[in-house]
Parts: sequence; structure tokens; C-alpha cells
Amino acid sequence: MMKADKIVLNLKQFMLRREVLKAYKDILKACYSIQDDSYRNEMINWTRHDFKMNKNLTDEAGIKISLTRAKMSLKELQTSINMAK
Amino acid sequence: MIRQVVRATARATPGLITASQISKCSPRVLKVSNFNLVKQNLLSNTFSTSSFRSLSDQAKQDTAQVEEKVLNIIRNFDRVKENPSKPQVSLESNLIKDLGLDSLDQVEIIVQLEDTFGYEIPDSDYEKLNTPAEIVNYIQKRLAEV
Repeated sequence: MMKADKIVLNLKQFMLRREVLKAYKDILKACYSIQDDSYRNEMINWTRHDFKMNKNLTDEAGIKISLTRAKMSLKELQTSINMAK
Repeated sequence: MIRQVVRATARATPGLITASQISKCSPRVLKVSNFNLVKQNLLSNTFSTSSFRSLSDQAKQDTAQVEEKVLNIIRNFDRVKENPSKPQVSLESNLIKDLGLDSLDQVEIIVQLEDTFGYEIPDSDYEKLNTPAEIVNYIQKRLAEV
């Protein structure tokens, strides 16, 4: 659901897209706080790869499912970072 | 931490603050410490014009520094470095149209900028920052508000 030049999103799609970008940002921020360099790069690459693979989804339900998965991964990441500190 | 640096700069004579201390500070702290340094210059007996920075000079220096940092971050972004067509990163190059990045990359670049400048950019402003020039303007506005 990329906003190309000619596609206009309706409000729900717009809010959903905003949520996806916010989740991406939160995961990236959590990744940046990882001390171990190789692990951090691995997580960043995995995140990017996952998000980019699902970039072309157009059905709302599919997007919501991926978004929920992303949020769960974020929680797991945050707990494992907190445990490592 | 801000209080300590402010106190330290208020007491210290200009030139005793090391470059490493300054580079570790966030811009907000730098603003306050600069104010303290200027105040000392005004109060000291040896008031020479060379050591006194006018406000407009300060602003110009800040702009150049901010532009440099922003352009460096974008240039070092791996998708831009590895782009086979090697596009030129200038102030006016649109991130999406000229450099071939997408909104996910835009988010990543803005996160790196937040880290560099120590300032939290709200989500609603992400879509507005499409060229380095806009980013520099935005950051300067925020720095001026601080």
C-alpha cells in the first residue's frame, strides 16, 4: 500500500499506513539501542526485509495482520533488550 | 546533565571547554552554553571584536553545520550509496523521486536525524520532509524554538 503519485488513500487506509510507519519507526529505535553490533545489524536487516516484503499488500485485513505481527515483534524485542541490560 | 554543562560553561573561561565536550552535547545544550560564553566575553575587560560573535554569524554557521550533517546522513544511507545510478545528493533532491527511496527509507533517515540532533520529530511531520532543504528548515525552526 505505497502512496504512488496517482493513488489517493481513503481515511482508513491513510491511518493504517500511518500506523505501519510508526511501528517501523519504533522497531528501528529499539534496534538502535542494541549494544551488540552484529546483532543490531541483523535485526535492522530483518526488519527492513520483512516490511519491504509486505510492502505491496493491498487488502486491509492482510495489512492489519502484518501490523499486529510487527507490534508483537516489537514487544518481544523490547523485553529481550530490557533483559539483556 | 544540562544543568552541569550550563554551570560549567558559566564558570569556565572560553576555550577551556574541549571540543569533545561540545560534540557530545545536544544542540539545546550548545545554545545555552554559547549564551554563557558570549556573556563572559561581554563582561570581560579584554573585549575584542574578533572573539565576539554576532548573532547573524552564529545563525549562518548553524545552517551550514545542519546542512552538512543532513547531507552526510543521506549520503551514507546504504540504499543511496549502493544505488547503481549514483545520484547526486543535493539540498533540493527529492528523497522519493530523485533518490529512489520509499517511505520506509524516509522513516529510517528521519530516525537517524532524530538521533543526531537529539530532537524528537512527531509522526505527522514525517510526510512533509521530502527534500534535505525542507529538513534543514524544519530543524532550524525547532532549534530556534528551544
